Amino acid sequence: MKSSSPSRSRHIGNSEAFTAGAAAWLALGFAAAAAAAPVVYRVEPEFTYAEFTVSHIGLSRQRGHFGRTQGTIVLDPEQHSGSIDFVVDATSIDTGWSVRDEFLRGENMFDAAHYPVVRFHSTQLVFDRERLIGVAGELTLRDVTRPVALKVERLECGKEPDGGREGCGAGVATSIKRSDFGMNYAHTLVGDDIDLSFQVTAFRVTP
Amino acid sequence: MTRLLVAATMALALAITAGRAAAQETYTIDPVHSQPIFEARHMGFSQQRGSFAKSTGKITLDRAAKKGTVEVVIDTTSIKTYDSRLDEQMKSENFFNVAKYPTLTFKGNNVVFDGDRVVQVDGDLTMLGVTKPVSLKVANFVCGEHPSNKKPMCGAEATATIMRSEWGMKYALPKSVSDEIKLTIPIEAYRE
Repeated sequence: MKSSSPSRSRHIGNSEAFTAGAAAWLALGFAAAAAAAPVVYRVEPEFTYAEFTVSHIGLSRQRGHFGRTQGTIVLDPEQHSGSIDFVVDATSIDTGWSVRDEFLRGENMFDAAHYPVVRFHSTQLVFDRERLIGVAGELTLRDVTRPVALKVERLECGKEPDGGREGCGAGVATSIKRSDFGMNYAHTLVGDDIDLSFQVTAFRVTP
Repeated sequence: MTRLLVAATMALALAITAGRAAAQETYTIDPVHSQPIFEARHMGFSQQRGSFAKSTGKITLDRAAKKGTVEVVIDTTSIKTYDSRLDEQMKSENFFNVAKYPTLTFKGNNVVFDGDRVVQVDGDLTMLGVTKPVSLKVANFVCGEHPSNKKPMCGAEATATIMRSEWGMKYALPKSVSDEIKLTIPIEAYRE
């Protein structure tokens, strides 16, 4: 701002224009201040996909989804702060084959009867200028909590068509080893490395 | 001498032909490990996903001649978006119109090899009664045997991007649901 002001006054060169320019700067300042307040978003489960991908018998990559998710996202890009809480219902696992779903819900894998919730809680949000690019946090799965780093691959905001709600969509990814969470069954069939991918849609709650 | 040479050449040619005929392999797709996934953009900032739980198919490969065919039939009624309300929308006549078009087919007649690996399949996708050419890019083509049942099989992942309007699926264009649809198809197939 400091470096651009002199060049601006040189170009404009009269006090009337300078006053207009100053008013514009002030207005921008107010807008920035308004934007600086943390904004709260609520995850819309209907448009949110929590997906995992895993190697199967070394021949293909198989995917599964969790149908039920919940979450709250608080973003303050100016202050480089905020928080993300995201919860997945482990019983809502869906791979398109009920036999496999039952196997995955079973005690050898997710043990969803004992641990019905998979939870992520952020500890730090990472920004590049005002763009959220990463999230450090803790993932709790089967009652084991481990640090994970999420990469934010896509973050776009807009409005629903026809003047609807204001929201954001994000593509977020990370990789974990299931053995780190005590999920050690069937290693000859199902890989240890699990790619997690979240396509999250969240609508603004704060006005 | 000349006659002998001709006979030997013919024998060799026959052997090669026989070898090639024997190299034709037929594979049956394992439906539960071959569920196609589709991805669309929604409202301009949201990404939506869905898949088809049921599909059947046959693949023939002739690695010596570097030829093959692919035929996949997808049950459109098995569509799932992980949300029952969206599922009903997808099944409706605005989108897949599953009552009238219960299947979606892909017929590949040009299998492209890079060495021993399949890297592309060119074919026709029939959806909503409309047939248009589609090229599937094939990655991670690999063959082996199932660790439990020891049956020989191959696996891969095919991808393509299509414009749904080309098949007449034009509802909610352009803002609400994107025209561009990304397809990802994991494949596991048993050798017969």
